[in-house]
Amino acid sequence: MTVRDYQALAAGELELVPYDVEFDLARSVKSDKELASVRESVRINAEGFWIFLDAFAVGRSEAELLGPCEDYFVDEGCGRQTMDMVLVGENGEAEPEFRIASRDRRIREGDLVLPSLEIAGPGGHWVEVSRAIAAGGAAPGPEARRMLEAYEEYYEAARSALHPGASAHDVHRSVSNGFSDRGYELGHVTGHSIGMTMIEFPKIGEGVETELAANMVFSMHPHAISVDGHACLYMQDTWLVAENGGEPLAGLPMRIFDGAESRPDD
Amino acid sequence: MSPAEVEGRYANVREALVRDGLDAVIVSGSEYSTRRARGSATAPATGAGNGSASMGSTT
Repeated sequence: MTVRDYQALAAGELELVPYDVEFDLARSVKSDKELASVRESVRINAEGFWIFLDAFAVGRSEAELLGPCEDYFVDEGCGRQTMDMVLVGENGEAEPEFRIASRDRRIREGDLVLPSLEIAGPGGHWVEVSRAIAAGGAAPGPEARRMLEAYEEYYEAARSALHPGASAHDVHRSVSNGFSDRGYELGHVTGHSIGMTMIEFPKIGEGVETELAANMVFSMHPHAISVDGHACLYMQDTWLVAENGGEPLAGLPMRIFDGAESRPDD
Repeated sequence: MSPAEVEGRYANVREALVRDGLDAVIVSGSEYSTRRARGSATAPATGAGNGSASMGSTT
């Protein structure tokens, strides 16, 4: 709410109280129609990743990689509901800073590129899906390879941890173990509910005792950062809490891609 | 979107409002949370606003 609106309302007879958490929790369990919308957003988002991968080549600018994704997202009805950025670094390791894709910086051999793709499809439900891409040479570097091990462990842990009745705290502990055991800081939440807005409650984090329920949807993206602060791994997935555990909706394999892969149905 | 789907989503929020003893909720939008133009208009419980909308009273 803008300050202008808040001041006008607060000056009247209304008693204003914060209700962010409760409001998000009231809409955290998705209806069948909402889940159909979520799945359509995931389809569009995952195809956007493949388009990014299709365009990926040494010598191309970051903007030249992301531009075709944005074209596709708009064609598919996302309108301006996209927030796409990149994390990039040389010598096989990506710097942990999210950046607007540069028109000037060109992909070099040895780069590790992490597209951050976040969109809402025609139904208005936000989702987040992406994978890291290595540009040959030294990529992925030793830190990225070690972080990938933790990612693989998180991915398997989430399948069993994201079940109805689990607390968000317990899920956070389960999926973050592989990172903390290897000494990595998680520079971002491990996950959060996602829906008509990009980041909603409950968060998947320490001390969050909210109980998960079937048909909640979470974006999971542990942001592993090295001790020196100059290497990271960040890959996004949108998960459904199903009766028998977590279901990653995009179906992308958990790996660092190298540009040689093709779509599963090609 | 069907009227039943809209009503179902609103009903979930109204149920929370009754539980918490509140009369209404004001939802403020932004460029990330609304498909419509930014603004500060309000709308009745079954309508749609621009940037922010009142969900209406529960009583």
